[in-house]
Amino acid sequence: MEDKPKLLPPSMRERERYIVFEVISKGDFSYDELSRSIWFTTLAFLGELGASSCGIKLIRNLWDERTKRGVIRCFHNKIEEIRSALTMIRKIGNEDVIVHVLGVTGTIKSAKRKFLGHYYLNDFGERDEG
Amino acid sequence: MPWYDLHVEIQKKEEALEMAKRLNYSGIAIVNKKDDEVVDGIELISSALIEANNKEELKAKLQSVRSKVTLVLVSGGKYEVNRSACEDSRVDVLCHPYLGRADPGIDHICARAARENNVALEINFSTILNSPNRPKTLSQIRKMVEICEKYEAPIVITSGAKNPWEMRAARDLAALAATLGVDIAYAIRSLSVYAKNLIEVNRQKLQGSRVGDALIVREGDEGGG
Repeated sequence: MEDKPKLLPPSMRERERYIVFEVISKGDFSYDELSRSIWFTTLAFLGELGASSCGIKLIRNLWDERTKRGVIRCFHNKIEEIRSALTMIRKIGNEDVIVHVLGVTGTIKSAKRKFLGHYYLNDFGERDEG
Repeated sequence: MPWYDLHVEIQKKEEALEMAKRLNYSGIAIVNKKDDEVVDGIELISSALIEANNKEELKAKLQSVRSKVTLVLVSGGKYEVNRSACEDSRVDVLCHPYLGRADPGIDHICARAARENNVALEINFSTILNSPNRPKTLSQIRKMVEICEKYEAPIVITSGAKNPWEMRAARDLAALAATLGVDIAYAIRSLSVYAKNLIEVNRQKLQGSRVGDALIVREGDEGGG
């Protein structure tokens, strides 16, 4: 038997949203510095108890070094909390930054399509450039 | 959606403009600026920030400044100033009434007066960000919001930025206000539609085509009764 619980019924699963953000800054910084800064400010602003009920996860392979865009996952009823925690970020590493939320999506796929400039060959719908 | 930031304290106009453009603002009000202009599609709104120590000083400064600028902001903090600003309809925004205090700085009397005179009470992002004791500031604002909701006094959310890195996107400021107890729909409207409306009404008043809040004097109708 597989050492893993079975996939929960849909009504028992967490409802998740993906917050797409862009970091406005003059200089460069590493992903580790970004991650540390986001966790530090979120924990300071929401506390350990608050952060634990938000289901925060920084999605590493969606961080785009060139456009400075990334994605954070959270639960669907905690979006405003995460957004306000992100406004409290002033510095990443030694750089002054502004974290600007571009939008919220329900799936990673639509986050990629709408904000990260990924295209799908089987997608014939209208798409936004950029 | 048109977004407005009604209180920016950045000295260099170019830096403020660049960041406002990046954050999708359609208008910002830089304090102590003399005239309205539009640069690169962003409105720069004339505004004055009044700092006063007592009622008489406030009234004197209001008298001299009201007919010259679109927005009049009053820097709050002292109860006497907060109260007399709320009771004066020439004031548009009372900035950070909670600054340097242990209480919210306003009471039910102020809130009721603010509702009657259409004075908006400000949630200033810069005071939260730079606060030495952030939990205290947040709880003061939360109490202020509670009083405002009860007496239906208008609330505005501004950045109050002293340098460009203290500015934030309008929707993010609305999210912060929502966590402090403001209804999210109201917060978004107060950053966009209400702010725009306030600016338009004030411009019409300065031009003389509007008297009070309700009556619009149409061109060509004057003298005809």
